[in-house]
Amino acid sequence: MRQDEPASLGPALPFRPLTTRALGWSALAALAVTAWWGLWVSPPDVVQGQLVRILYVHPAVATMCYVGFGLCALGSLAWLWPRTRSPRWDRLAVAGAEVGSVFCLATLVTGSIWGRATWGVWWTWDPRLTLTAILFAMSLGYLALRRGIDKPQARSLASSVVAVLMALTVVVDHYATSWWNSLHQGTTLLQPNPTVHGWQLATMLASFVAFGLVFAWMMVHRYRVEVMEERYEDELLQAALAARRSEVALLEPGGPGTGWAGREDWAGDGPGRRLAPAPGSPPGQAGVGAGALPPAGGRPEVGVR
Amino acid sequence: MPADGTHGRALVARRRALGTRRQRVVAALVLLGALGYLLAQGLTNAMDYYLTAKQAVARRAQLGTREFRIQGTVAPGAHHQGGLLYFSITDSDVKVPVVSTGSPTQLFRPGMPVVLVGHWQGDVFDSSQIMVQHGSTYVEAPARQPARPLSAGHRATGSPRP
Repeated sequence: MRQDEPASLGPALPFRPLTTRALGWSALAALAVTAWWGLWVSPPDVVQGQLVRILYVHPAVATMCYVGFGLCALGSLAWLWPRTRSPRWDRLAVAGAEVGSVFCLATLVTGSIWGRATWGVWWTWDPRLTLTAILFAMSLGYLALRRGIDKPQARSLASSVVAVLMALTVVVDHYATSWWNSLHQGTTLLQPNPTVHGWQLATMLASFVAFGLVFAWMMVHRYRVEVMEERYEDELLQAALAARRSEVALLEPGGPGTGWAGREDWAGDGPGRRLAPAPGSPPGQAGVGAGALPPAGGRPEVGVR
Repeated sequence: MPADGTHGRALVARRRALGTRRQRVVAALVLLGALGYLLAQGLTNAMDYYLTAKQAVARRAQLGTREFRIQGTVAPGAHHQGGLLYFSITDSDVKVPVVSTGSPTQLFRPGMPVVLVGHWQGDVFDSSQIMVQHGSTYVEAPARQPARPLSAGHRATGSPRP
């Protein structure tokens, strides 16, 4: 934990505020340069005329969507691998999925606008469009799944499987225009001889830098929020336990501090551990009566999200 | 940190705010349903998105008057008449006459690939929607001149369709 952070029960907050601010201002500056070049410096296109200017938003946004889901899959695979399993990878996975889904929605919206202007339709069941919509639905499913499962281990395991499926969908989505007949155009930059040049190329590359920085800034903050949530939940649990402990102490005939029956009542030490029944309590009633609370400082791992 | 149970109640309230298990199940079912619809609707359409003009001509009898998408390149000679747009699309050595009620975007011009939604009406493709394809090649215009639209009554360059 860093010196400038208040003492807390959870993990330390990553990245200094100065770093995140520098990242944010850099992203803003890069976006301003992209807008300047894209709207005033770069000339119109021979075929698309002024409509080409959405080229400086849509491909970069779509790429960041892929990067987000790629990071989600990377974090999930690293979490699934026993040797590298760490809460950090799980946080990276959820941050990647959430930021990726924002960029996925932006991809659908900007693509729809571009499609209406050039193709003449807001939407069509083209392979690329359909797979991107499926990807967005999967990302919402991923986020819903994480909210729906309380136990951290089970949550991470189930969401990791979905993350891998999303990464596979990203690969198929990327190659959709090559594998099937498609209304959507093919790749522009990812080929031996890119089919864009001059100011159009420069502006397109600037847009990748700008949206890359925006993506990085959002990832950093989403990761920090995840850490904060963990710390908050730890503190809530500790506060709830302390409150209950004080109630127990008041009810005890022997006075405060005599209600705790000892660490033997604290069953298990791994995921899913729970309070054991208090001595003399009816069978099946766990951790609800006097003497059933853990000692101060104990951290029961229960899902509260 | 206060130990008066305030945080404990906040914890309970937060859990309630996240919804009951039943609500979560309903939300999951709705999402699964949406995903299933997308998969069913999308993949069946998307994997066979269009037929090229050559394929469509070869399978004309089989297609009958069923609606499908056809792809080809706009030939010179497009013109408006009586609220309809008449033009032809080509693919290799095949030329398909088209009559369309749809209005194309400003990118519609000879030489541009298009995907049309419609059906065969004899030897003519009766289209209700025109989607103009554009490639992934971008070329800077020498001067600031917007792409020329095909206005009503305007006859595109080239020989008119008989």
